[in-house]
Amino acid sequence: MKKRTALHVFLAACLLLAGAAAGRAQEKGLFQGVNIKLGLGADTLSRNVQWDKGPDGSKLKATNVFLASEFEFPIDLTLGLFAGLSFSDFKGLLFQDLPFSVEYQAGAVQGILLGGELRKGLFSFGDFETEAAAQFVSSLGSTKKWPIEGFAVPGETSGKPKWSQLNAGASLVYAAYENFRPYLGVSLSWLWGNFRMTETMGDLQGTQIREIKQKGLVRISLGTTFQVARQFGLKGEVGIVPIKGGTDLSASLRLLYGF
Amino acid sequence: MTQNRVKKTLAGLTITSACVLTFLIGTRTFGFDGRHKREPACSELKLRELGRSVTLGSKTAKYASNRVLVKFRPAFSVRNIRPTLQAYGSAKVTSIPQLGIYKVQVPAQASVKEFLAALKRNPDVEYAEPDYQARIQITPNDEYFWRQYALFNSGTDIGIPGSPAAKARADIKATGAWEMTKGESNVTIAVLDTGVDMNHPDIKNKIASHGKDFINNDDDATDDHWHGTYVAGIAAAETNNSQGIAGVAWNCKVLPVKVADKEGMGFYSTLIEGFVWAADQNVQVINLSMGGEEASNSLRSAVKYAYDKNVVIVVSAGNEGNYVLYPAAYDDYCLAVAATNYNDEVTTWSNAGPQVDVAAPGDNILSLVPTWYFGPNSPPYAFASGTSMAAPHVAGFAALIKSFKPWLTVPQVMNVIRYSSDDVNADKFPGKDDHIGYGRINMERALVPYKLKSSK
Repeated sequence: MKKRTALHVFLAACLLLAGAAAGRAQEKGLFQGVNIKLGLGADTLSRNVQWDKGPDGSKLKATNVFLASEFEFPIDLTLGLFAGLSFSDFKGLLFQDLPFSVEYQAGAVQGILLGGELRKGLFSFGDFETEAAAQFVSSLGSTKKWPIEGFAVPGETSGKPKWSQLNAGASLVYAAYENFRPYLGVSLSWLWGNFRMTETMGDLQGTQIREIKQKGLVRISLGTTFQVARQFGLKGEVGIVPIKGGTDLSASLRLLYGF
Repeated sequence: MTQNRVKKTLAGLTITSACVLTFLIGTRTFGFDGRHKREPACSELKLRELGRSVTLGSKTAKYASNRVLVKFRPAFSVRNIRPTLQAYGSAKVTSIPQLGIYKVQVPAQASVKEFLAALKRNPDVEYAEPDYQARIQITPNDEYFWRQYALFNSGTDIGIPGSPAAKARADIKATGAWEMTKGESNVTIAVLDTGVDMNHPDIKNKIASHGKDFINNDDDATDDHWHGTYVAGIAAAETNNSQGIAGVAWNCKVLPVKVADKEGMGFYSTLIEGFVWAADQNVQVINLSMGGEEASNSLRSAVKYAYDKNVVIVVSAGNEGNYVLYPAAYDDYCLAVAATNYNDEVTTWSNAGPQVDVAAPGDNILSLVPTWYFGPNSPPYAFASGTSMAAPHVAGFAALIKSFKPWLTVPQVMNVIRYSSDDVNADKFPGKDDHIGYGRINMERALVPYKLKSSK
């Protein structure tokens, strides 16, 4: 609990310091020609995950909240960095190699989210612009413990999930409006990671690490940037990954302040 | 009035058409979701003898891959229902008129999920849901299964004249465990006993080989008593073969090892030879429903030899209402098994001591006797009591664990069996005690995945 509070304080402090530093840097002209933006973001995603060993799958439902920054360089290149918290739920994941098999139904595990993205303008034609874009996020889950009840001796499991996602592709931006830039993107999406589960009960102990085995999937996204005011911008995106027997969905929203 | 109705119908059809269009556009051509393929249906059991059947829900939701159930809102005209559903591409629609529910075929190229999502977008649909599968838990079709309270205790009388009513579910939870595994044919239980009747129709196909006879020093461990056949039947009688009884380990094999003579007596020397020989045959489990009062270094060495060869050793505690016999008392290497009855009570005659690991039903257990035992006109089955009958339930359970999780070591298998037990005498002796050890075995708890819930 103390650890979690400390993490929140640390992240809030980072936000304040980063804001102050960015403002000062901009004032002093340290980033000449670089447009700096800072803000807050939130993502949610629901993915069908295939795992090692057999056909059983599970869902990954994650909610991420983070501090976002963007550096727009004059060469039509934008670098984004973000850090925050992730809440990942791998509902239905089976750990059959433990002495007592376990089916994960314990909700979201909190972790640290780190990520970055890169966008580069390619070429324009008429009211349209094209961009190449790549985004990477990584969720490093903390270790969480759960009791195992109803057995002859007390037991406990501890689990630690981590996952990363990389989307890389291109998008077509409709640039006819000054403050409103809708886009359609097509990318390949990779997901990898693992979930380590340890079970302890009396003299019994077992550990199983389940690895995500997911090939690259086509992701289609629809989003827009919207300049609400001179310094405030909003960015929203929804993405779908059509897969056999279902659809992976994601949505993100960012509020950015330009210095 | 008529105009209103026409308007309503048109509005309904317009909305429906829009929904159908959305559905058709949204439908991908990936085919059906393989994870939801229909499981083979279990046939309904005919339980004339007991005059009742038990229907239990399945553990995981399974549903028909080609059919859903739909109910429209009362305001939606019945005349429009079939055309509406056909517009979605459903070739077959049947109704349950009393409830206004329709069984609707899932269109080709769509999955159940997709079809349901499309139907739910239609405002005229009150609800649409999968046609879930309801089935009895995995229950074998063996004729006398319903007399095997140890495997599934329905709470009725146990099938012998004058028997009292049993306590429902005072059993080893076999039916739930069988959903996870019925055993593998490469897992063998060596039955060190009086031999096995290898011509018995309910076990002849389960015999790994003719075994070894250490009484007559030959390679034919045929039973000339009854005890060995009986014990082997509890552990691994042929199951789901429409006759006789069910064994705990449906698909595992039995290796007969004759270490006791036609009077049911054997010396430690034959037990020792039996342990060593069985361990050398690479069996996974040894059951010994015998024992003696005296400790013996030689016997201990033989048990340790088998244990070190990765064999789970299950031994009955004894029936004298006294201390635990040997080799069951060699606690480091054996699972010592006490006997409970059809009410989950420990029997008065079951031996007790700190070496008792677990208990299993051993009072009035139905199993096989040799075909010659009652003569040609009687079915070769009988009831008997003893810790001898309790132990093979645990041996079959160990074989299922070794089948399902072959990587587990012997101490791990022993602890899985111990820790998953039900402490059925917790009101008198909470925790591990000398009477039933950790408790009466619970196969379902050991084999069905534990659902890890969020801690409060």
